[in-house]
Amino acid sequence: MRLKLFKKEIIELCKTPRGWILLLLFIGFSLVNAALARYTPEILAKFGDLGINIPPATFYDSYIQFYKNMNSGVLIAVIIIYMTTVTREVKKGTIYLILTKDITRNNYLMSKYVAANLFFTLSYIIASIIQIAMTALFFSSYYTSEILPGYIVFYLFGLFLLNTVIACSASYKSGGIGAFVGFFILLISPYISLIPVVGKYTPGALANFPVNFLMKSADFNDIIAAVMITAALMFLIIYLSFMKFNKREL
Amino acid sequence: MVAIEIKNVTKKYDDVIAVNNLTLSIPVGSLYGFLGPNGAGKTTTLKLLTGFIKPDSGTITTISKKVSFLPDVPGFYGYMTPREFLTLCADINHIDQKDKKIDELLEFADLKQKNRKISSFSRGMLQRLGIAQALITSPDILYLDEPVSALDPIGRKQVLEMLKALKGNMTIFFSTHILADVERVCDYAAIINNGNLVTAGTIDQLTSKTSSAMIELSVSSITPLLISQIESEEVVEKVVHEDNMLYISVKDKEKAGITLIDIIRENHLILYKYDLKSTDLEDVFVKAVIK
Repeated sequence: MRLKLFKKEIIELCKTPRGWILLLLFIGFSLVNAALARYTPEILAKFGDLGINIPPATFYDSYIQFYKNMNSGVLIAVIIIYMTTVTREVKKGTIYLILTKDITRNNYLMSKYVAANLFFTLSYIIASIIQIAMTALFFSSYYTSEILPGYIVFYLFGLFLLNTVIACSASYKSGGIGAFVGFFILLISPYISLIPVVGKYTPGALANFPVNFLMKSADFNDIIAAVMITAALMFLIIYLSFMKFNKREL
Repeated sequence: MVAIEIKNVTKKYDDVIAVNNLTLSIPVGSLYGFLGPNGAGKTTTLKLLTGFIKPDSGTITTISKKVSFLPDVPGFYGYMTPREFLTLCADINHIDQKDKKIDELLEFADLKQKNRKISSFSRGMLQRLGIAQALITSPDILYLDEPVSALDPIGRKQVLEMLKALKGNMTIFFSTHILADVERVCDYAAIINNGNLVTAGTIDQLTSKTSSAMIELSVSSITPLLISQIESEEVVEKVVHEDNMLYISVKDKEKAGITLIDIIRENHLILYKYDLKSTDLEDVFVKAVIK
């Protein structure tokens, strides 16, 4: 990887709306999760008797809200923003100027991966810290030993989604393929993980795990295999994308 | 010496042959125009030359690996200034004394005072910046795809002046469908149509290859007998008599010249004017493409 190109990727994320939108979504949701969890039962109670028994909110609800918003907001934005990582540069023509300099296709693609993963990681860490802080603000308790494993497992799911979307963008002419695969992972794979026997080894299991773990309906040992498989699959997808990108006609 | 050697290169997209058995030698230091109508295979050839696509068959060899490329629609990072973009290009290539070089290139591209974001640039400015970025690596070979096609006359003139100034310092191979530009700056040209090379050579060679021409003739007395005598010659295609002038279309300008002088001498006429209208590249291009 060329450091200068990597630096350009980071500057690009800071200077263009894409980076800001993603960071603001990460921060925005983590700022409101705790408040939403805390006041939703009270707001619903104001509508009168809805025929459902709403238990008082606990700090667990704040974290459940965090994962829900990650799934329905932030990770959708990740797909939309990164599905054109390479295809956008091909379409704009910037890739032709860069690749005719002293840089290999591997260097070029590696810069994209590293910058995207670093940006996602930093944003996720910031969002996680804010989440804990806001939970502490709205609830008397804010931490349990189930929080950290859940964070890490969901982080890996996010990385898997991000890298698969970038891999599609590097491998195919259309950004639509990245979008299709990304939304499949985000929306369908959690249901695939419910398939008896084999489902628990699939990447989708990582999306369901944090909430189940918080609710004490899952054991950490149950997810280890899925974590290993997802990590291996992610590296394989990245590797294959390098091979495909090197052979791809631009 | 040859800078770029293209031998029997073919490229197909499904059933469409974009480039068919192309063989071309581009001399070192030449400014080579690659002419053809839209869809002739020019961009495919340039992408083959720059390695962005691979030929189905044939070989391409270049004298140097120091090549640069400017696509037909150059894309830049719009949030950067031209200096920032050139700095990025210089850093990627580990250019020594980059600031000095960037200053020179911005001056050359007439962009030194344009310290605003690239996203606000006109097409002409983008094209000039495109050439500047291509030159930052001091390439031995510069490929340009339709560098002036989308520009207004002023923008075209500026870019062509830049190319002229670079002439001799490197081998420049540029595609275009604008004949006047090739005639204006190039010393060599090739014409491609439907993926096939039609003709190639120096501009003089190309224009002289077309032997047909128009001769304007004025003599002391133009009679119907003289006209029919000229028309009867095999080398003559058509004679038009207008305002004491004869406009004679001929198949072969060399042979026609000798024949016409013989006729004038036989008829004891005084020759006032003999003007051979030379064929320009446009005639060559039109004939090649229509064929």
